[in-house]
Amino acid sequence: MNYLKTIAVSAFFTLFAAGAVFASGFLGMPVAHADAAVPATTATIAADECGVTQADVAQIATVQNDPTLAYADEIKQELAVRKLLVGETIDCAQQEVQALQTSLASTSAPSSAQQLQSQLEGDLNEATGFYNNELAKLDVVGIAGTKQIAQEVLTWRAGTFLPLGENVNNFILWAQNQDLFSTAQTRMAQTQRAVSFIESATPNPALQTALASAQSSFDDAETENTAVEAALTQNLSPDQTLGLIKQSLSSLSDTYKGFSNVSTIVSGILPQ
Amino acid sequence: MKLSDILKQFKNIQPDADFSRRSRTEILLSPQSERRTMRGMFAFLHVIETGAAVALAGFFILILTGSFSPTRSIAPIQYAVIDPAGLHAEAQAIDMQIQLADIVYPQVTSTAVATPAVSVALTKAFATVLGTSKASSSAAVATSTTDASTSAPTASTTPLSVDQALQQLTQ
Repeated sequence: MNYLKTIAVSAFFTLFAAGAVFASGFLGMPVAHADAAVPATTATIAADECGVTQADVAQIATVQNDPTLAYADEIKQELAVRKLLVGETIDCAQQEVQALQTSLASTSAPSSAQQLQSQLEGDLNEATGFYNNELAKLDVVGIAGTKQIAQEVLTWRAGTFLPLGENVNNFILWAQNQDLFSTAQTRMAQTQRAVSFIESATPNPALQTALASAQSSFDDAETENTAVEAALTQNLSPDQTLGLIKQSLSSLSDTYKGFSNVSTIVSGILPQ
Repeated sequence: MKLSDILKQFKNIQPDADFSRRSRTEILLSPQSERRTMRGMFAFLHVIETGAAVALAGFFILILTGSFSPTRSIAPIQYAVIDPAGLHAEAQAIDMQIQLADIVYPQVTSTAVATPAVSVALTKAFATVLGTSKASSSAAVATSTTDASTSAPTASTTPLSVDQALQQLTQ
């Protein structure tokens, strides 16, 4: 008898709780938020503790135009100022690399992309090595040498570092997107089960259409997401890769519009 | 005397008054521990019973909502499907990521931000290189020169990007 009593009380609690869930759901009170993926905080890429201002660079002209200085002193002081400024600028550039290294190291990538992540980490280490070499050169050059070092670093950054930085950013962005895709995949599976359950009881063409639309957008998003990984691996231009990332996110957004339509239709079908 | 009359007289039999008092006292003073133990046990069983009922109720709810992984495939409707708040949160997360994609490149090449600490450090370095008085006066000259040429009072203290600084240092 006690067992029967326990089961009866359980049934009472179950009905009560289920009623509360339904009531709160239909009254618009969120019972439990779905596992909404919230993107990780954006990585701070810019070096935020360094800076060379126009006034700092103007110190060179000030020395050059100082009538109180003898020629030898002028050369000596201009060289010292230039070395200081080039060194400070390269320090800033190194902080950019460190910021990227930190962001990349804290990025959780799928196992298929870990080799790519290691490769990018290696490229950033090479960048640090390049800057260290240029800083070492500063010790033994004259005024023309400092100008040459500035030019070398400028050229190298345009051809090598800036595309690398953009690729690293694209990789981090893509890696962050994977949680969103995983959440969408789970929701798609749940939606499909719910729709097929409802369809088995009451066929509803509008519901089928809404689900098909969501599925189509999700398929597009997945294809584009895979293409991003290929683009990163094949080292396509960063602009192209970013374009694919944006496209995949746009398709994922369309998928959620489809989910929203399904949700609206299902809410109308279920008893109020 | 008949037997029935004798039996009727039994009704009038009463115990000795002293025996009655003694017996009552013994009964009232006898230990009640066994009865208390049984009551505690019943209370304990009742708690167990209620707990089991609540646990079973929770289990049934998990089955109904499909949150219990082995029953995912048999749960008829999952509330996540019709949960507008959850849908909205997930869609919003995607929108945030789209916005992030729009601003990701400017961050790479953004201008380095000069903090007061760095400005002070550079000023001190200039003072070491040029001599204290010259550094401060030349800095003032540089500022006024720059201000005059650009007609923008804050231009001289605006941090240059790494590439802008390198470009100027090549000249």
